[in-house]
Amino acid sequence: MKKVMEQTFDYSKAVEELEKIAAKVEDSKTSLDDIGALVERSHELVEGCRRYLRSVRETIESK
Amino acid sequence: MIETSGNRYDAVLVMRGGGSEMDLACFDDYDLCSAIARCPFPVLTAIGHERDYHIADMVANMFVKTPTALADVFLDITKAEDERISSYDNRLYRAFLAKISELSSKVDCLETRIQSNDPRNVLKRGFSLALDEKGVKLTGVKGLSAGDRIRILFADGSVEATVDKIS
Repeated sequence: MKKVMEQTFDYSKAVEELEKIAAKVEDSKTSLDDIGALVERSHELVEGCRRYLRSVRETIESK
Repeated sequence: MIETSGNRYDAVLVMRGGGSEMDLACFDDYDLCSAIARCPFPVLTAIGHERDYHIADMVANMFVKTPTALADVFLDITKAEDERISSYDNRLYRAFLAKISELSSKVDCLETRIQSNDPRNVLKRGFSLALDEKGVKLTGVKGLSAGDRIRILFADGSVEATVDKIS
């Protein structure tokens, strides 16, 4: 199940969302509360991206 | 039969170990040699001894002196092909690792961008942060008036304040 979850993770969409978060956090008009939520979300996305890249690498290396 | 079989062969090998002149005479046969010449697949011959040379050898794509030598030719071809395929395998693997590394670096950069622009990290370094009523970071006095409510954040808490005077 874990492997299926990792392989259905949409890496491109996650990176796209991270780019948007970075832009919003850099924007001085973003409120601190929003920044807090965005940073939390970015942690999840970064972890997801790293897990995905790790699983892809392990899949290839195991062949 | 080879032509009509419908199969695609890589090569046709005509081999015959050593024998007498009479034993090997068939390799000068017109019909055989004509078939070799017209064969749609490469024909390699290895007939008799080192000293033997027949018309079949002349019309073949390639001839070698002995069946053993022919086996060596094929071993060399398959070895070379193995090496070529292995080199693709290595190239693909290196390209894959480089791609993973590139993608990983991109994620790291995005993380760094977000963390370094998180104004709350400024507080950890001993600075304070002023916010307007809506919680948006104040970067200057522009837009502020006496009486406005602001919030000042410190690492260990916050202070609600009112603007008295702007200078």
